[in-house]
Amino acid sequence: MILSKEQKDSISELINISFSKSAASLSELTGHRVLLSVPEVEIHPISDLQKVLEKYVGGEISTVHQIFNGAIAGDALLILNKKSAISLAELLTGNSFSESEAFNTTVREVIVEVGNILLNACLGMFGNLLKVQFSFSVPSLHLESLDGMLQTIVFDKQELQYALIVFMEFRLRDSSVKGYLVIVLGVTSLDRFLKEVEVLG
Amino acid sequence: MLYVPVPEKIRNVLGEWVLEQSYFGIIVTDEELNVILLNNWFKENLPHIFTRYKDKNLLDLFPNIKERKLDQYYLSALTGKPNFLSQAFHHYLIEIPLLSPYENIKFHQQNCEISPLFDKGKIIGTITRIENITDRIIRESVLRKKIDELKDAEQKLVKYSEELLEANIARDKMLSILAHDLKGPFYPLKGMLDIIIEDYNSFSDKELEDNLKEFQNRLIGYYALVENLLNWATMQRKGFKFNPTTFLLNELIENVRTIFHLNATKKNISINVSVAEDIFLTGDKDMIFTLLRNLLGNAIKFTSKGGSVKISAQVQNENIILSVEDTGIGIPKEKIDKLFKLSEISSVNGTDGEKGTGLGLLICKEIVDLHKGKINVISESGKGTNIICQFPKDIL
Repeated sequence: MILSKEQKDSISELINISFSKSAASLSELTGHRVLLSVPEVEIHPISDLQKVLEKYVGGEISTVHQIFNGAIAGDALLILNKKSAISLAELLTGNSFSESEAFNTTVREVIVEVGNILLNACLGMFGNLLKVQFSFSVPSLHLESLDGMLQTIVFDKQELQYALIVFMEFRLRDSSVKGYLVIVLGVTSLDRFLKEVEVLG
Repeated sequence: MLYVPVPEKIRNVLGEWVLEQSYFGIIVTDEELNVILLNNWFKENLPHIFTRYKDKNLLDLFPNIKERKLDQYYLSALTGKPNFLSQAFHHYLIEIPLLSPYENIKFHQQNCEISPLFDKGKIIGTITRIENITDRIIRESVLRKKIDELKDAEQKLVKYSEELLEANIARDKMLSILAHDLKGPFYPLKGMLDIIIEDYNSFSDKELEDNLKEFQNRLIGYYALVENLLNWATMQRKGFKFNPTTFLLNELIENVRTIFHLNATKKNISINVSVAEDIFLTGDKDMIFTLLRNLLGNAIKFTSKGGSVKISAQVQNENIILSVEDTGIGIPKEKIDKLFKLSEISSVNGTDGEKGTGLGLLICKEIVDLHKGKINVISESGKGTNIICQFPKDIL
């Protein structure tokens, strides 16, 4: 499934609106101006997800994972590579975390809260647009390889699954950190979402 | 999400465990945030709240939640979103003073989750799970402090090692100067004195006077050389005192000119002073005297017979600019950068064979640095040298 330019623009715009609220929340939390870049979106079949993400993240990655259930169901993930996760935690808290204390508990907790804010914003936007209510799981953090992380995604094998990938960049204190949001949806939910997006467009 | 059916009995046991256990704080509210349940964690940590929470609104029971704008997470939970609040950003949800505060940690440090409470797909309230992580945060804080102390100690060690290295270079240089430059002129002086004593009766009065004057001249040069070495050695010592006062620069320039009058006359070099007004400089007077003595001494030393030296001083904005310019032999371009490096300096004889240690300009640089100023060398081989020193008017 390839997104048309109009679909891409509309989804980017919708996510951008959610992100501007998230950026404001992060700025309020940290006391520093946090900007989130205008996101770029792509859609790939779940089977291609590893191949696509491998280009951007490798080695040990940190993933904030939230499962959503209800009228539509799926997985929402914020993926950061190890270095980006530490940099982001450093930029947001003002502390420095050496390589030896990489992924200490504080770093993990900071990343979970940031992931929670972004995923809530994104999933909230989905729910509003599709006029459905669904429940989300409490966010959890996983540290593992990309392959290992993809194994944790629980999806309905009866239906073709797609991954909406959002390429994003946090900018604060003259630095930037890249991250990736992945929302895994069944083809029916995705189709419904794209139709709603087209109506908006 | 995969659901596993839980038997009624297990549900009850789990419910009891959540209520009784005190590892986590649990708050359950209805959709209007009226508190339905606090578990035993509150009995232990906030007994006065535990006994009177029934039928109270969460935001009335813990007004601090709203004051710190944390109520937004409850409103978010009531729209179906779970919220994780990290200690790193919020420190705590429920304000519980510590019995023994540690530095700026005065309250229990907590992580918490504020989630919607669903019943058959409908949101019926909120559930909050609070984890007390104070011990961990204090341990981290102690560790971080120790790491910072170790980093400081490491930086100090690196600094000391650099200072030691520099001191070693300085000591080697001083030994080399003592071995060569100080010993060097001593023998010609002794030889000259031997000749004067041995041939005393064969000299005419005029020859004797000329020889003694030459002896005196060399002795003065030798004395200046020793003085420079001592000045530099003093500046290298720890605890060396910088003693600033405000003085008239014009007078100091005149004093230095008088000292070099004889040397300049001997080489037929004219010394011109160009100071348009009275200039008051704030600095260490003895050091500025040493600076001027070195700059003028070098200018005369490296200027051939019949040349000229110009000393000028002026005030420019917030700075005082002092320059000594000569029409001497100049400094090759590749040597200019090495003038201020102890490991690179070397002595060069003057146009009339005058001796030196090569320390003169290094001392000048150190003096200017101590006065928070700048020194600049403009020179061209065969055409002359201009050394410009810039001092801030007010260094205090």
